[in-house]
Amino acid sequence: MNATTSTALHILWTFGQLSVLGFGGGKGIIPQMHREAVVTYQWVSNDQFSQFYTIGKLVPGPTTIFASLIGYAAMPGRPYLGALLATIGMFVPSSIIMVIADTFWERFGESPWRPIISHGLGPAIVGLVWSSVWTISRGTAEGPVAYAVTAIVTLLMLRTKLSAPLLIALSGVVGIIALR
Amino acid sequence: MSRDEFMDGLELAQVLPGPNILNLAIYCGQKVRGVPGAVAAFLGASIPPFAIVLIAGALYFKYSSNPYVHGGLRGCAVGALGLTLGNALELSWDERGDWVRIALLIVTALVVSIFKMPLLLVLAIFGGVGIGREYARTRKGKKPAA
Repeated sequence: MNATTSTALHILWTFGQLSVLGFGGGKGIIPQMHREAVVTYQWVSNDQFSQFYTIGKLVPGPTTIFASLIGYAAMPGRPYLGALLATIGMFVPSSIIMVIADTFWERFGESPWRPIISHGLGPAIVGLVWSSVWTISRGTAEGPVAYAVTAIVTLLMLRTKLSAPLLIALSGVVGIIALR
Repeated sequence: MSRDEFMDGLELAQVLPGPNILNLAIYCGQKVRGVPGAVAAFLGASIPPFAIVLIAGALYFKYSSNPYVHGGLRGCAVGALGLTLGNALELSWDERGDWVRIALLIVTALVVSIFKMPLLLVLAIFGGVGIGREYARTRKGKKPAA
């Protein structure tokens, strides 16, 4: 098996696993995605991971689409193939589960298991989101300006209705001025 | 599609793994045209973001070494960190008053961040404990909070 094929399979397997475990809309998979993409396979650096995550938040659609960018970086010789494989891995398995569930599980909303599962998984997902904060912070700028921007964006997000892309764009303007 | 059917799909989309919007789109496609409809919905909901992110990626690899672009990206990443932190705070605030759930989320955050516990184990153990607790509460006749 040559290097390209083996990378291709690693991409599919890595994102395929994350897809199946992507409960809570995929909010909880960031720490594991970082571990695989940055530590195990070294497809991207800490900084790239955080910046790709940012692009995922910036573009319309699910944040986890940034898996495409990791696939892009993982196959420098064939970036579009890498991106496509990562996207297939990230979205196809969970979609198949959705189709199967809808086929076999009529009237899911009335099932007593629905609130038990969704509410029961809550604390684990929130814990994983905290761990995502830690993960992302490892690849972001340090120093007073960066900390101030993080704090201000956090406050604005909690206290105002400003949209996520707008807050990211404004942070980018601060970055152009002060984080070069 | 009836309102009830839609709400049913939304709940299914939120409980199952995968992005909620994508899952909901697939559900709607399947309700209207069966599996081919689901496939069409999948493609319709995933191709546009994929195309946009590819363009963003191509630009990233072309220009990220430019100092201004580099600074802008670093600034954007700091903003995205703030959004994630806000999200974590918001979700944790929703758990206030239930110390078992707060303890569960703190332990989860610590074992994932410090001991690098794999996601499958995290969901099996801490997700399992949370689900077990909800199940026990429901059996005791308490109305689940969600």
